[in-house]
Order: sequence, then structure tokens, then C-alpha cells
Amino acid sequence: MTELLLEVKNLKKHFPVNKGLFGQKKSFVRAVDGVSLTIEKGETLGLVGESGCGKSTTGRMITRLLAPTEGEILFDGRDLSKLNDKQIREARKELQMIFQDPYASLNPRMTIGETIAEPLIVHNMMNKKDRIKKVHELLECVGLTSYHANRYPHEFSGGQRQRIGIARALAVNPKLIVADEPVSALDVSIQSQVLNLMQDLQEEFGLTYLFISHDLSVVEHISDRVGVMYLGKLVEIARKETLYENPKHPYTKALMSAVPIANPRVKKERIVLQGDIPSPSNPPTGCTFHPRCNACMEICKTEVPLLKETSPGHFSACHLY
Amino acid sequence: MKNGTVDLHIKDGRQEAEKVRTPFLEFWRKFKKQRIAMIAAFFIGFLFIVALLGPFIAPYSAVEPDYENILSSPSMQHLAGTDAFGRDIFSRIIEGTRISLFVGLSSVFFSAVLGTILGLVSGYYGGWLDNMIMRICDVLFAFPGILLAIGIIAILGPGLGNVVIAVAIFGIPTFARIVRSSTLSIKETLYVESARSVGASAKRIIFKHIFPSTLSSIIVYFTMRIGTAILTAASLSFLGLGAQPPSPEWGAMLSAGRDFLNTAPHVTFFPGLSIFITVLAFNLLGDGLRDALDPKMKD
Repeated sequence: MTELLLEVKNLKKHFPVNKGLFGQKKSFVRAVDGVSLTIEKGETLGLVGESGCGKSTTGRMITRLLAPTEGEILFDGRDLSKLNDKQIREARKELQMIFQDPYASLNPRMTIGETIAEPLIVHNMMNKKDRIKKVHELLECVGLTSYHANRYPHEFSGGQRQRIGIARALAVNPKLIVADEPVSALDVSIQSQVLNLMQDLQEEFGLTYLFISHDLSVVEHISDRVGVMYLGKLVEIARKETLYENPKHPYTKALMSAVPIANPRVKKERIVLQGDIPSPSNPPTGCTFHPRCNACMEICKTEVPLLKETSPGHFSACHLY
Repeated sequence: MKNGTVDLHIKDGRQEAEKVRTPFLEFWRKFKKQRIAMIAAFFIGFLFIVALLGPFIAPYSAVEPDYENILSSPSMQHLAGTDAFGRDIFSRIIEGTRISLFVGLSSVFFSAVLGTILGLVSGYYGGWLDNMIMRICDVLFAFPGILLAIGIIAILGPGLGNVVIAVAIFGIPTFARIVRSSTLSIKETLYVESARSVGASAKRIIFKHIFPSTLSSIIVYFTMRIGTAILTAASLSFLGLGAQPPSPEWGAMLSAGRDFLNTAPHVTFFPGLSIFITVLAFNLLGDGLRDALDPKMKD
């Protein structure tokens, strides 16, 4: 059994919505409502779900860019949710993030070299000479050349910028990288390059990824295990092969049936969900998915299903199992 | 056809030459194209030289009276005529340049430094600190500009040094507001968030990421503000609250010439003209800088 790197327990994030004349906090948007998951050392956990289901919020809480409302984030034995500002900054040495938008995540007024060296400067890791050497190494590592270090972000394409973002994340030799939709802003042809780069780097440096995406085929390509989120909750989590071949939760089934197959002759039954995703400020009672579920039972309307192990390593939150 | 390929080749060559396009070069490329702002910049450069060399290039002394040439009209000997004490107005204007530029620059410099720090802190940290700073600024804004300056002079007493302080204080809230508003928007950008995710401290984010991005609006407003500061300082001197009589300050010269407006208009005309042109030059330069620094105005 491999070692656990990250264990998230019952993580919640409720954003207050001010209503009323005097700004009383009257209601909450339950962006993330009780997510528990684990990540083993060296694996890639994919997190999928539609827009607004809380997957990015989960990622941002794990890197502590957002403070969780409730819950624990055990990273390498330490509870990140209880650290103060200074300790969090220190912890970020081992916990880096890659962002969705490679255009906006690089400071336009800093050269690429400065941007990549920033984590090293912040964590006081090397002297200037070594830093420059390290930046050049990192650039080569992500498939750029060392003379790019003196250039500014606007001189690069989207794919190149994402490589720069990856180089920055790698600079401090982190243990975990949270990749928040790292390829969604890129062309399909560039997506595969960046994904392959991420996989190569994972092998080379023994990285662990939390890979957040709405693109099922991307997640299938890169992940070892996949978690599916719906309305702030994790509804199913399993090894990639089991989840894609044998989804249990009705939501996952519907999601999987929406993946296009690149063969016009294969006829596939498409499960079309009725209705829209409910508002996270006023989620349905019981199982949040019950109003749209095609296998809805009486119990689903009243009782919240818990994440249960339905077969080894396959967890699903549904009353059917 | 052949020409076309040759052209392309030259273009490639040029791109090789300008390998590193720093933000400054980018700015310079755009600023160069603005003729009026360039002229204003040259004029301001010229004013600085005049201010530095003042006493050496002035044909006459600025303070020595010459009772044989009282209130004489402009002539070849006295280019801008003489005042009630026979002093050469042209020489006085030259020496006054130093005072006006000094007052303008130093007061705006103080307001910019203090206003920027307040704006950064207030925008970045928010909360009660932000509220407090902004409410104090609101109070300062409630005074009509010159009245506030007069009030401060009334407390500190007249004199050029106090004019600098008064004009500086009266400029702080505007800087604070401008910097705060850009801080608020830059704080939310992804690159600030990514700096945070890397582990950068608040201090580093403020000075390394936010401040450089607000710099362009600070520079623009700084330049425009110098004109206003010179004008305010001149007004205070005109009212007798700033530079005291023998000093060749432009506002004080206007004030001294007031009594001879009908008989010897040149005594007020030339200092007035200097104020006008200088303030105009700073404003035009500010406009040009704004256009060149605005990232949305790409060619």
C-alpha cells in the first residue's frame, strides 16, 4: 500500500450572501459541501464536474488560497486548515498550483526568468547565481530554451505560457501540484503536448497531481483515479478504468454517456438529464441530485446518501448501493 | 514578387535585432509618436536647464534695484521690461523658474509618496483600515482645494517651505484614491493570486506585483499634478502667503505688478505667461504619457 500524501476530510466552503438593507448574512452559497478524498504519493487524482460544482473551490482550499469554512486538510501529516498566514506561506513550498488561464497568471511586467525564480526568492532557496542556473534548467525541462528567460509573457503563445506556469510550479520541488483546468484554455493540439509534458515531469520528479478539469477525456488520459463532483459534493470516486467502464452513480452514468466517441458508426445511448443544475445557495433536500435522477426513490428526497465503498476502491454516494 | 521576399527578410532581421522588448521600450515607441507631448517634454527639459543654470544665464540680477529704469517697457536691453524697482523681469522669471519647479516637484513628490503608500495599504488590506483612510481622504476632499492650502498656511505661517507642505497635503487624497482603485483591481488578477499561491508575502506582492502595475497611473497623475501644484503655489504667493516680496516667485511677481496693471501691463503679463506655458506643458506631457502608458491604446 502506498503512502497517503493528502487527506481531505469533510471540507466545506460556504460563501455568505449579504441580503437585506443592513448587510445581514442571511444565506450561504454552499460551493463545497462536505468533500472527503485522499491522494496517494505519486498518483494523479482527476476531479471532474460541470461548471460551478465546486471543483476549483476545492483545489483552491487545498492550496489555501481560500480558507475552508469547515473540515480538515491533512497534507503530509499536517492540517493545512489550521495554519496561520506565515505557516501557510511556508507550506506552499511543497504545494504548488497551475492555473487555468496562462495569459492572466503571469505578471506582464516581469520577465519569464523573474516569474520562475519568484518561488525560489520567496522561500529563500538559492543565491542569485544558482537561481539563474535553476531557471535555465527548468526552462529546458519544460521544453523551452534558456534564452527565453529574458523575455516578457506577451511574446509567448498560450501553450508556451502554460509551460512557464508549470516551470514556476516545479521550481521549489513541490510534493503536490494542484492543476486547476491547466489545459482548458489551450487548443486541442497543444493540450496533448502539455498533458504529456505533465506526465513526463511526474515520472521524472515523482510528482503528485490533483488534476481539476471539466473535460472527461483529458481526465481519463492523465488520471489514475477520478472523482466526480456534483453541486459541492463528491458523488463518486474510483480508479479511472472502473469509473469509465462501470460508473455506478446515475450522475456519473449520464456524464459518461455524454463523452463523444470518435466513431460515427458506434451508436450509443445518451442519457439526457432533465432540468438544470440547482442553485448551490438552496440545494435540494436529501440527495442533491434527486430532482434530476432517473432512478429516484422516496429515500433520496429525505436522506443524504453517504460515500460508501461499493466495490474495492470504488466509492459512490447513492442510495441504490 | 522578388521585392516582397526581400522585404520579409528585412522584417525578420529587424525582429532579431529587437530581441528583448522591455515595457520601457514599448512605452518609448508609443510616446515618440505624440508630437505635442514630445514638444512639451522638450520644453520642460529646457525649463529644468534654465532652473539649474538660473543665475548664470540671467542677464541682470534678480533682486538688485535699478532706480534709473523703473517700469520701463520691453526693449532690447530689458527683454520683458522692468518692474517698480527697475529689476529686469526677464532675469527674474529665469530665476523664478527654479522656485516654481522646486515647489511643484517637491510638493507633488511628497503627495505621491504618501498617497501611494496609503492607497496601496488601503486597497490591499481593505477592512477598517481602508475605511479609515478613505474617510479621512473624504474629509480632505470636502475642502475646496485652495482653501485647504490657505488653512494649512494659516496654521504653519507663510513661507515657501510651508507652501510645499500645504500643496503636498492637499494632493495626498487624490493619489491615495487613484492608487487604491488600481490596487483593488490588480489585487484580483490571477497573477497576484498565483504569486500568493507560490508563497509570496503581502509585502512582496504589494511592492513587486501591485506597485509596478499602478506606476503608470501614478506617473501620469504626477505629471498633471505638477501643473496644478505650480498654479496653487503661485496663487498662494499671489495672496502673499507663499514666497515673500524680494523673491522672484512668479505668483509673487504677479501680485507685485497688480498696481500697475493699466500703466505697465508687462510687469504682470510675462510672469503670467510663464505660469501659463509651464502648467500647459506639464498637462500636455501628462496627456501624452497617459496615452502612451495605457495598455488599451495599442497603436
